[in-house]
Amino acid sequence: MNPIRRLHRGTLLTGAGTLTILLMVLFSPPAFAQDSHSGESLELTLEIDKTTLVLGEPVYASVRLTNRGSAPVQVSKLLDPQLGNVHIIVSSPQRPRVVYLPLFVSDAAHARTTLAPGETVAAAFPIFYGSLGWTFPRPASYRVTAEYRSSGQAAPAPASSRPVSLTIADDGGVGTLLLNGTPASEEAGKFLLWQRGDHLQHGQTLLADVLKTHPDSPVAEYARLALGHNLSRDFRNYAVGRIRPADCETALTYLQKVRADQLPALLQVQAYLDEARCLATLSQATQASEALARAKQAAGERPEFQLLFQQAGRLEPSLQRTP
Amino acid sequence: MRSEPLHRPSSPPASRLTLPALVVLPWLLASCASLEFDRMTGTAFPPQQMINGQAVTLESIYTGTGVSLDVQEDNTAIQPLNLATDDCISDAELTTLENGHRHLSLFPTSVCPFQFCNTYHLYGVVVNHYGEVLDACIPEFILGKMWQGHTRSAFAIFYRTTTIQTDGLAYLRTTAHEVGHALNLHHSDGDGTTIMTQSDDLTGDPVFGFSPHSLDHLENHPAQCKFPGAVGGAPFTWVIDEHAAWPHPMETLTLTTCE
Repeated sequence: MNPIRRLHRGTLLTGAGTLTILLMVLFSPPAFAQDSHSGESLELTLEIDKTTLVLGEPVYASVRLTNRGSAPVQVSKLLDPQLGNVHIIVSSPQRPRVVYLPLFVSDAAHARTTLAPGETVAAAFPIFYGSLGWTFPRPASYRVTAEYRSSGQAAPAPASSRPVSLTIADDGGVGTLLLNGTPASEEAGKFLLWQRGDHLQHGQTLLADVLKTHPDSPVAEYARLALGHNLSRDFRNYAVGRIRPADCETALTYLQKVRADQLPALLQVQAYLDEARCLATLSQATQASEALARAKQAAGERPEFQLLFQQAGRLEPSLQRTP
Repeated sequence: MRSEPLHRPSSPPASRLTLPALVVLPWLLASCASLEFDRMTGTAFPPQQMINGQAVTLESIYTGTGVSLDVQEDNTAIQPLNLATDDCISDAELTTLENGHRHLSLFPTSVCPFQFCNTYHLYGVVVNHYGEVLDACIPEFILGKMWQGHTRSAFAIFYRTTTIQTDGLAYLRTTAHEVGHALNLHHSDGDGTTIMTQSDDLTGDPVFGFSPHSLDHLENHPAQCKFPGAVGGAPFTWVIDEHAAWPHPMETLTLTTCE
């Protein structure tokens, strides 16, 4: 068989699975700080699980786009600031309007879907670090709003969410340590954002300092998760031309110290899934199954977390066979 | 018998100057963006395309825009680092490619005291991987990415996608599109068919040129608003009108006319 044709068929199957997962109708009422606002027929809802944070603590947004009209609407099935279809606007007394700008801009094909009346697409992503650096750079009250914009044929009118208020407080110097305006601070921001990056050595050192000097700070939990997640996966380091293999034993020393209740739901799910992957890799099937169950419990019915399960199953196929 | 003039005229007739001037002036006034273009083994650079009998290349797409694009094909033998369970390259891994293989400076080379004759630098790489989206590997969705939003200094094309491998026009268009992002052009600068329109948003046959809005930006906005790595330059953000803002020295984000 032509390898290109074979590849295409495989990806079509994967794409169909993704579509099925992403296009879930939501029945349960929202349970977190959130608000929504209708456009012509699209309703965009923004949720931020933790609205009281300390300086330097990563912030994650969940957005849900629902067709409240009576006719199908063409939308992007992947809601992501990188794709330019979702914009996050942050305002504070010091800075009246900042559009969150991701570090990467992506161009997509085949990313459209028809959203039937009542259907929802959803996604979750970080908004705390981007091309303008740290999005929440000082203790203050912030208002965060999401907008969905699309172009092309039959594009619906833009939809805006109602704002969500965040309070960022100083926490005994951890924020000052992390947001110190140095290249190491930039690297730490990228490392927390990607939760990967062997080449970001200065950033990892700074996060190790955070763990050492502020081990009980909420920021320390994100640092443990990022360091554990990075080690739980192989890393292609093209700067040195080789793959650093996953080190699950060391990764678990970080992941099993994470106090998941200090993290937003997205990262709770991710922490449990990372733990499950590593335990499965180390042939600890029972413990892996328990960690996977915790991940499912933390995810609940929220469709924006399903990509995490898909990715974990892709990286560790045995998880897909776990009941 | 017709006598020949003893001396050449001190200046040639205007008609003899017009044509060379028309050819040379736009070249002189076009700032140069030098693209260091690498690729992994198992990939190819975007091939020249014939459109309506005309040869179209990456350089020719930018001809007449005020930006003289100089494509330097560099390393063509980067070995892909393959993982059995993960065909997608992450954003963090992409940045190691630039760290390990970029030779051109991030900063412009100044060859004269005027902005228009600076040479600005951009790094591009064709990778033998898929791209990630929302930190997950979903093959076939992502054709290209531009990164380092604060400098707009690099981009990647994901050769593993069927679209890039099998559709030369789409490949060439995607590459020109990523270069456009590095020049601070946005999807909103497309008009449905031109280069900056996102592939999914095309409303007709793609046009291998720029919308009036894009051309206005490329031709008229100051260098720091458009060129990658420009000293004191704008990050990937909008300029004027629906374009938005970048940090003011006083750390207040303000709308700017970029003047």
